[in-house]
Amino acid sequence: MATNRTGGAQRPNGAPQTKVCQFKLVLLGESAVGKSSLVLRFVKGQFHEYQESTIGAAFLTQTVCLDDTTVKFEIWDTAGQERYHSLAPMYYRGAQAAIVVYDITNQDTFGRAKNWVKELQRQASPSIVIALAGNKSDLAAKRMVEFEEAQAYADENGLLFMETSAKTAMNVNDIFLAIANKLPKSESGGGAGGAGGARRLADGDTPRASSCCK
Amino acid sequence: MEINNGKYCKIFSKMNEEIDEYDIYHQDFTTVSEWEVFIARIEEILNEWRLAKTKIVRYPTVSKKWISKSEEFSFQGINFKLSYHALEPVSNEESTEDSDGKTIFQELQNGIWDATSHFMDEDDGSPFPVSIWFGLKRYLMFCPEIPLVDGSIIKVVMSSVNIAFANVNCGVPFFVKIREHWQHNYLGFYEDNEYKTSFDVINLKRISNQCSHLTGLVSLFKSKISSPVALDAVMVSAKFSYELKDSEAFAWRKVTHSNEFLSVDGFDVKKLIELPFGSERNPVASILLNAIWPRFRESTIVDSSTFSDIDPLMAPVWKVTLKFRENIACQLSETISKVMNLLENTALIMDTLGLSRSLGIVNPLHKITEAPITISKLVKAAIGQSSNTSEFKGPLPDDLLMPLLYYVFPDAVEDDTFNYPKQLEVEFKSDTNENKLCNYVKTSPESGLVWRLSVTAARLHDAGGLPYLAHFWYEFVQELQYRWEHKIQVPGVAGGAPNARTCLLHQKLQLLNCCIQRVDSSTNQGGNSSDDEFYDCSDDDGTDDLPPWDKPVGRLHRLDNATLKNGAPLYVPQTQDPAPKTEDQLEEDAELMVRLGDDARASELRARMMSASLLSDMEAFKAANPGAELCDFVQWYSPRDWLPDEGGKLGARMLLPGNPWAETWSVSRPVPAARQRRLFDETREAEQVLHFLRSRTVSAVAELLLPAILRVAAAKCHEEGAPRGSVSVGGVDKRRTFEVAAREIYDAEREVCKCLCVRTVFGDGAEGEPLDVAGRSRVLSAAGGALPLPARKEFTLRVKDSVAPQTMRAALSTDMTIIGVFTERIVCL
Repeated sequence: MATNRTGGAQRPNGAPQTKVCQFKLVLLGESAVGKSSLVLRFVKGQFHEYQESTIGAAFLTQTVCLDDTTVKFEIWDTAGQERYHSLAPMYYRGAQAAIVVYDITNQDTFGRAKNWVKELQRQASPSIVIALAGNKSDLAAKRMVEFEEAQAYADENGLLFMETSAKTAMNVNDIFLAIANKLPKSESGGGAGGAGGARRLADGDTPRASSCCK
Repeated sequence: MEINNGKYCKIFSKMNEEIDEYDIYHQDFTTVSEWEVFIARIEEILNEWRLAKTKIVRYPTVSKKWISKSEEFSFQGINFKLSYHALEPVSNEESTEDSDGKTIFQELQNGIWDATSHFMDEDDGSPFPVSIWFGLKRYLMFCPEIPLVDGSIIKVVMSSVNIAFANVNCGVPFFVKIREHWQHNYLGFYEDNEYKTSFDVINLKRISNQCSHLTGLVSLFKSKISSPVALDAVMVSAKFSYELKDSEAFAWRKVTHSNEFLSVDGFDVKKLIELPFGSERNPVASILLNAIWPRFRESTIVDSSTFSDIDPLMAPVWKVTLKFRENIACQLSETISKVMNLLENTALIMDTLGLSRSLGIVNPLHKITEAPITISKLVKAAIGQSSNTSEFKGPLPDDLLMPLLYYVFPDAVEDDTFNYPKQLEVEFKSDTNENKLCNYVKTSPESGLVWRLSVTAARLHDAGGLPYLAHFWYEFVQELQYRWEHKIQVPGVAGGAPNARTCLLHQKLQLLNCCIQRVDSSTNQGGNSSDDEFYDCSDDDGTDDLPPWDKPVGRLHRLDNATLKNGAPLYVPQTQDPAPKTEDQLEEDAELMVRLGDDARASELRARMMSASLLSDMEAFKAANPGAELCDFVQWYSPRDWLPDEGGKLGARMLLPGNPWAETWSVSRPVPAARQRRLFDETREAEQVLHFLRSRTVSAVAELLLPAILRVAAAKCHEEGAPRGSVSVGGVDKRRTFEVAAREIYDAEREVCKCLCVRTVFGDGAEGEPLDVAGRSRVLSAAGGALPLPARKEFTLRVKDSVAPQTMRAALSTDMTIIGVFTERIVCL
C-alpha cells in the first residue's frame, strides 16, 4: 500500500517516499457503448442500468497504487456522438493513455472503435498507450463481435485488450491497472514535444483513497 | 590463490615425454623455494588456459576484437599480472587442422612477415603494441606492477618464464614488460624443438648516430642476423610523418559575416534570410601527412649521415589525417544559443523598451493606446502626411525596420519579391520527414510568416541584442493590431482553425485570422450586428400546430430519407462551428474543469458549460424542422438513442427523469444558427491574442520564436549536407526539448564543417586512403610549397634467410624505438 497521507498541505520537507505520477486518460468510442459506465464503475464502484448520455465530456479522477508508484488518472470521458467528434482532439491531445470502447453486441461499434484507434495512431502523442475494451460482456448471449477477432486486431496494432462489463465489474479495474503498468513512470518517459510523460506532482497533492490496494 | 597441493604441478624435469598432469597425482618435492613455486604457478595457469602447442584451439576466422584473460602473481615482493590476449573467433567452429608445433610456427612467421606491410604506430585495439609490431594473433604478457629495472631481477624473471614455457611446451609467444612503463619495452620469445624466435625492443631517449639514417640501420640489422649463408637484399619500407600546423587553406569557406545586412547603405533582406552557418575559425587544428615508400631495395636509395636521397615529394603514397579542434565554434549554433539564453530572462518584453505602462499591460483590460507606428502610418508619413509627434522611437532605425516588416508582411507593399507561397502546407510527420533533425519540435508552414519572423528576430538579436529583438516584436504586434482593426488577414499563415500540431505562435495567428474572417463574413452578410438579441419566437413547445410565420430556416440538407415523427422530412440544420482554440486555451479549459473537481455538483456545472453548444444545435434544429420533437433531434444527433418503432421513439436512457437532453430541449427555441448568440466572440478572442503577444516576458517570446528558429536551422543543416537520422524524441517539456534540439543542431553543424574540410583535403577520396595527384598538390600548397622537417621517421627492414623471416623496424622522432624479430635454429652441440 502506498502513501496514506492525511489531507492538508505537506511541508516541502515532508516529501512523499512514493513516486506520484499523474496521467491523462481519455475514453473514446461510439455513443452508448458504456464509456461513462466503465468510468463510473472504476471511480465509484457503481452501475446504473441506464446511464445518461454524456454531453461534451465528463471529467473524473481516480488514483491507483502500483508497487512503488501512486498513479493518478485524470479521466476524460467523451461523448460518443458524431457531432462531438471535432472536439475529441482537445481531449486526446497530450493524453498518455486512451481506452477505446466498443459494444460486443454491436459490430458497427467495433468498426467505429477501429477508426478511433487509427485516428489516435495518426494524431495523438506517439507514445500514447491505447487499450481496447469490448464492453457489455455480460450480454454474451447477444454477442456480435468475436473475442478472437478483437484480440487479433489488438495484437496487430499493439493494443491492450480486454472484454469488460461495467455491470458485473469484470475486468474494469484490471484494464485501468494494465494501463497504469504499461505507462512510463520515469521522468524521461514522455512522448514527443509537449505531449510529455508522467508529471511528477508537487508535494501538496494528496492522492485519493485507492480502489486497488493490494 | 595459493598453491597448497601438488596436484596440478608437474615435476620439474628435463624429460621430454608428455605427462598428463591432470591424471597422475605426484607428490611434489620440488616446489620448495619461492622461485620454484613461482614457475609452477605460471605453468599451472598456462595449462589451465590450454596454451600448450598440442592443446591450443585455433579458429579458421577471427574478428578484429581482442579478448583477454589474466591472473595475478607475486614474486620477490613484486606483483605481476600474467595476461593472455587473442583475437575473438568469428564462430565457435574450430580449425580442422591439427595444432602442432609446425603449423603454429608457420602461422607465427607468416604473421611477422605480413606485419611489415603496416607501420608501428597503427592501432589494432589490442592492449599492448606487440601484436601490431610483430603481427601476432595471440600472445602472453607478463607485466610487473612496478617497473623492472634491475638487471638481475629481469634475468630471474626471464629465465623463470623460459622454464615454464618449455615445461608446458607453450604455443604462444611470451612477453615480459621491462624497464619504465612509458618506454614500452618488451622482451619476448617463442621456441619449439627446432627454432627460437626472439622479440626485442630497444627504446632510447636519444637517437644514436648510427641509427639516425637508413644505412646505419641496415648494417645494424645485418649484424643481428646470425645466418651462415649470404643474405638476399634487404627490403625496406619507410614512412615520414609531417605535421602541418598552418592549414588556413583548408578553412571553412568564408561566409558573409552575420551582421553585414545591417550596414546603413545597402541593406539586403536576402542576406538576412540566409542564416549564418559553419565555424568562424578554421576547424582543422593540424594536418598529419605521411609520406610512404611501401617497398624498395636497400641499394636503391641512399640515406646516410652525409647524404640522403629520400625526398618526400617523390614518395609513392601520401596519406593525410586531419586533427580537428576540440571546440569548434559554429555560427548557427551561436545564434541559437543566444536566443536560448533569453529563456532565463523573466522581464516583460515591453519593459525592455519602457513601454509596458503606456501599452496598458499592467491592466490587461485597458484599451490599447493608439498604435504609434504601423506600416500604414509610416507609409503615410513617407507620402507627406504628418504623424503623431509623441510616437515611440525604438532602437531600430526606420530604414532598417521597414524592409524587415515588409519582408514579414509582404502584402503591405506593391513589390512581389517576398510574397508568401499561395499554398501554405504544414508539414507533418510522414515518411519524408521521418529522420529530419528536430522533427519533434512543433513546426509551422515552411517559409511562412512564423519562419520569417523568427529568423529575422534571431538575426536582429544576434546583431543588436535584446533591444533590437524587443523593438521588432513590438512592431510586429502593432502591425497585427492594425490588421485586426482594419480586418486584414495576416499573410503567411495556414488557413483554418488553430492546428495543435503547429507551434503556439502559429496557432495564435491562425486564431487571429479566424477572428478577422468571422467578423468580416458577419458584416458582409449585412445582417444585424452580433450583439443582437435572441430571435423572438413565442413558440416554446414545438406543438404540431404551426403558426403560419414559422417557416423553416437554416436548413443544410436532408438527412437521407429520414422523417420526423410527424411525417415531414428531417433536415440537418446549419450549426455554429465549434469555437477555434489554441492549445494553451485548451489546456486552460481542461485545467479549469479539473479544478472544478469531480464531485456531483462539479459534474453538473461542467455539463451545463458543455451544453451551450447542445442548446445551440437544438435551436438550429428546431428552426430547420418546425414541429420537431426531441426524438427527431436524437434521430439525427445520437442515432443509437433512437428507436424506429412507431415512427420514432427515444431510447431508455433519454427518458430518465431530469435528463439534461430533455431539459435543454424544453428550454430551446427555434433559432437558426445565423441568428443565434455567437458561441465564439471574435472581438474578445482577437484582443486576447494581441494582449497575449504584447504582454509576454522575454523568456516567453523566446519560447514562441524558438520552434521555428530550430526548424529553420535544421533545414539549413540538411541543405548544407547534414545527413538525416535524428533519433531524438525531444524532452519531457518545452525547455528540455529546445535544449535537445539545439544540441542536435550543434552536432550536425560541426559535422558538416568537418565533412567540408575533409572534402576540401581529400576530394572524392576518403580519409586514410592515398591522396590523388590533385590532393597532393592541395596539401603541398597548404604547407606553403615545401614540407617542414619530418616529425617522425619510420623504417622497416626485412629479409628472408634460410631459416625464417628476419625483421627490424625503427621509429625515430624525438626518441628512438627499435624493434626486431630474429629467428635462429637451435643448435644442440
